[in-house]
Order: sequence, then structure tokens, then C-alpha cells
Amino acid sequence: MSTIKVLIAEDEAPQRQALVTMLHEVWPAAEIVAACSDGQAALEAFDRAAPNVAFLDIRMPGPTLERTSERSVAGLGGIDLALRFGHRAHIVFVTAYDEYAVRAFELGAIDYLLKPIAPARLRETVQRLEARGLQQPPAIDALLATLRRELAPVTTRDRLKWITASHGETTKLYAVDDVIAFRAQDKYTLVVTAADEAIIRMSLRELVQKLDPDEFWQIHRSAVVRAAAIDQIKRDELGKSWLTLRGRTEQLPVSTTFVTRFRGM
Amino acid sequence: MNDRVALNQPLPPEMVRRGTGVASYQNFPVFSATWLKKRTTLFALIIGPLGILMGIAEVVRSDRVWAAVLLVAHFWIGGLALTTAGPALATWVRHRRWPLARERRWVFAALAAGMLISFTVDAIVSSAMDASLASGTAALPPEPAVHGAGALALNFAALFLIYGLVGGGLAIRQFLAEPRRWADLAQQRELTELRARKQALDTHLGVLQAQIEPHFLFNTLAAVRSLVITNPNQATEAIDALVDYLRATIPRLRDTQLDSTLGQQLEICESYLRLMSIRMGRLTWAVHCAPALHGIAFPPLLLMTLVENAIKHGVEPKAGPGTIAIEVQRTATTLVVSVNDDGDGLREPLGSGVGLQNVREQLRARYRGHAQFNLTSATGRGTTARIELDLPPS
Repeated sequence: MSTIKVLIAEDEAPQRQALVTMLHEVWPAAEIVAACSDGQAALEAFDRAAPNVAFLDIRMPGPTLERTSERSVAGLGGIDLALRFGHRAHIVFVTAYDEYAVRAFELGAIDYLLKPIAPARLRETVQRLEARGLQQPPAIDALLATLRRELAPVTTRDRLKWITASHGETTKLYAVDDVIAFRAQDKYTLVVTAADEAIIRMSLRELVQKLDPDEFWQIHRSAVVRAAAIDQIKRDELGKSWLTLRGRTEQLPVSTTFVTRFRGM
Repeated sequence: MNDRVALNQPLPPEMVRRGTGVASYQNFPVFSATWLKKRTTLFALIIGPLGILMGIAEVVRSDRVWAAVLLVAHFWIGGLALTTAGPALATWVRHRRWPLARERRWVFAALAAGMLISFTVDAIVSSAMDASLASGTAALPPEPAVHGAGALALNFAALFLIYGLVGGGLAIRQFLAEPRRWADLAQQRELTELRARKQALDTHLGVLQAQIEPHFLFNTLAAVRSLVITNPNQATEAIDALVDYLRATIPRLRDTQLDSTLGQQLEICESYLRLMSIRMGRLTWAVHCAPALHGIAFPPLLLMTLVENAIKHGVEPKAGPGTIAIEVQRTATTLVVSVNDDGDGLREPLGSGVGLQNVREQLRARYRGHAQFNLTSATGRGTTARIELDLPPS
């Protein structure tokens, strides 16, 4: 029988030590090759020690990203780790409470432990792992991807309330309530408040979908303004319409479709 | 209504639409003593110099000083009677504090009486003036008599209009609108108060949710369970900190009190940070606040929301040691409270979290523009949440 090598990743030190101690008692045959406090350390330890079982806390600091295209969710380090080496080791997730995750684990036959971990429950898990023979771990990638999406903070589904934008060396949080206009600038968007302006790395088209259409009106393909902040719309000699906002001097272009709609009100 | 409106007090600022400098009489209830005094002063400032100018013109024209003095005096008396007689009577009426309907009737009567008085005074003064002027100069050609009833009515209507407008006719509009404006104001204030209460409740709810948030609760229990075996002393400390934290926040949830001090709020944050630092084993924290500032009033649980945020978004997702520092500084006119962490900084470009929304709205509801809240981070390194409150000068 090949040796059982176990990796533990848990960011809270007391719990990590307790799990190590408990596992020693419950599963004397296993060798604990690493007990790590964050995703990056766990990833390095995995490559070094090649464990065949990994106990991963779901919510902990994740591994450093190699490619920026990977959309990782801050704080869901356990899921990120499982995606990296879930096909080479049996994963046991540890979580304080994730209703959705627990349901998914049961459906997808991934083992899990709820905190605080009771020794009896840990013994069951160990028995199940041994029964499975620690051969080829089951494919769990698809399930993990769903999990990561489901456990991510709900930014996409809700109305936008905050925008963080860089302004030189500092990044600042802007309340959407304070914003009076958004203006497209190539791939970026200029956020305009009564007192300030900032650029965000997101296209206007992406942003518009998350705004309340009663509050913000798209007046042109390059501009969205707060309805309550509109001062006036004027037509110039060439027949083009321009909009000014209360308390601001700049003129924003207005599309003909919007002018028609605006006149109709 | 009358029993509620204090006549000797200026109107609340929300009710006054204009009225600075000489027009400041408009800041007082219409037909109140102060209103009358300030309004009369204003008219005196107009009538006084105008009379003197007329006097000078008369001296230049006829070279008779005594006649000029008489003219000025007559003009002053006539002008003052015209502008002030009605309002003065109305003021007398209003200070009787009669029931509203009766007050209204008598205010109208007072203004009408005022018009009659000023008309009489004007007639007497004019004839006296004509007499004194006529004796010095060639008799003026008699004024063309106005013929016809229509012209006479028109003449009367014009007179009525002038006397009415100058003699308190404009004030009557304000007077009649006053009860409604008081009612509007009361409603507005009630709304503001309700809004402040709702914001405070939302914040309380947010903290309550965080306390019973399963991740916080079960992770704390898991940590305590682990420590009981490995480090009983720390387990005791953790339980003590948890008890402090719960005790400080739970009673406040029941009576949802709106008042608390900075010292109390810092204590809540400290017990929470103590617990988290035992749990995480990699968190260091500090609170810098001069003890003299502990007594300053500070809204409940705002600071706690910011500290929780710093843990959740600053320290927890970042590997390795993490630090949180609460700094309180007082300048002559402001109190600045900031929560700093050394996490990875603001990352998500968009957010819909309600915690910070609550902080902002509660500040707005309670301080109405006299509080600032902002969240910044030096690109990719640490985040600072900062609350700035205007303090009344001490």
C-alpha cells in the first residue's frame, strides 16, 4: 500500500493546529506533509510533496495568479486550489457554513467537513477516503467552476451602488448616488461627480446594464447622465443638440433618438 | 396653530426663503412685534432720506426753510402712517393670541382700519401742506376735476391698491400661508427624523446580521474549540472577547438608541479586533485615540461596520500578517476617524454592498452635509476608510 500523504490548508492558526492534531489521532496511517496558512504556500507545498489528500478551507487567501485572465474571487482560496490540483489529489473541503456548497458537495460526491470539526465526523471522512482506495480522484472541475461563481459576492445581480476608480496613485470609492454622468472614453469610462472625475477600466456599455434606467438616461452612445441632474438641452446652428448638467459647464452630445424622446415628455 | 407659534422667535431657517440685511424682518412671523420693528425700520430708511431730499428741493425752490421743515415732517408722518398703521394694528391683534379664525378676521379688519387711518392722515397732511405751500408761491391752477363715476371708481381703485399693497397687503399673503408652511415644516422634520431612525436601524441590522453570520459564528466556535485543546489560556481570552463584543452590541439592538460616544464605539471595535486577532493569529491591530476624545458623541456601529469591512476585504483575503489601525484626530472644527488596513486595496471595480451604503446614508441623515465619508487606497496597497464630522466649536 502506497503511503498516504495529506496536505492541510487553513488560514486560522488555532484551527489549523487542531486539525493536524485531530488527524494524527484519527488517521495514524496518514503522513501530514504540509499545513499551510494560505493558497500560495499550499500550491508550492503541493508541487514539492505531491500529497494524495488535501483538506482545504474554502474561504482563505488564494494563490497568486499566474495569468491575469484567470477570474479568481478574492477570499475563495480553497476553490482556486482545488481547481489547480483537484485532478491529482482527493479534496476534502472544510467550511464554516456555505449552504449552497454543502448541497453541491453532496450531489457531486465531494467530501466536506463543517466547522467546528467533530472527531467522529472526521473519522467517517477518513473511512470513506480509505474505502475509495485513493486511486484516481473523481473529476470535479465543472462543479468547482459553478461553486466559484455561486459563492462570489453578488455584484453582477444587484444594482450598482459603488464604483472604485483610480485617480493617479490612489484608488477611490465613489457612491453611484453622487455620480451625475458617465462618459465613454475608448475602452474606459469617465465617472463625473459634482466635485470630481475619475476613470474606470470598464466600457460604458458594460456599465450601463448595472445602472437603474429610471435614474440614469443614456443620451448618446458616449454618455449616460443622471436624469435629475439635467439642466437643459440646446440645439446649435448645425442642428446638433447638446446637454448641460446642473452646476457643470461642459456640453454633452445628445443623439437624435434621445431628443425625440425627451421632447415627447 | 397659534398656541404653537412663538411670535417673538425668528422663523426656523427651513421656512425662510429670503431676507438678509434690511429685509431680515422676513425671518420673523408676519405681524409679530419684531417683524413690525424691523419692517418699520426698513421703511423709515426709505422714507427718511426721501423726505430730506424733498426738503432740500423745497429750500432750493422757494428759499423758505420753515415751509421745507413742515413739508418734511408731513411727508414723514404721512409715509409712516401709510406703511405702518395697518401692520401695527394687525400686530396688536396677533399678539392677543386669539383663535385662528378670529385672528384672521381681526387682522383683515386691522389692515382695513390702517388704510382708513393712513387715508385720513394723508388728507389732513396734504391739505396742511397745500396751505403752507400756497402761501409762499403763486396759487396753483386748480386741478382739473375728475368727471364721471367711472373715472372716480378707477381713482379709488388705484388708491385702494396702493394703500393696500404698501400698508400690509403683501404681508397678508405670508400671514395666510403661515399655518400651511408650519405644517409643511413639521412634516419635513418628521420625515428627516424617520429617515435618520431608519438608517440607524439598518446599520444595527447589518451588525446583527454580521454577528449571527454563520461564518463568523462557526469560525469563532471552531477557533475556541481548537484553543481549548491547544491553548486553554487563549481560549478563555477568545471567549471573553466574544462576550464583550456581544454584550456591547446586543442591548443596543433592542432599544436602537441613536446616541453613543466615540469611547463606547471604540470599545466595541476593540473587543471584535481582540477576538479576530486570536482567531487569525496573524492580525495585529492598534487604536490611537486621545482619552479626552472618548466623550464625543458618535453614531452607533458605523465604526464597527468599517472595521468589519477592513477584516473581510483587507486582511482576510491577503496571505501573511495583516494590520488594522484605527486613528482618531481632532482639529479645531472637525473630528476625523479613520480605519486603515494593509490589505491588497480596492480591487473590484464595481460594488453593490449595502454596509457602506448604510454608513453613508446614516451620516447624511444625521449630519446633513456636515459629515464626509470616503474610502481610498494607494493603488493595490491598503485601504483607508475615513469619516470626518464637523464639530461645534468648543
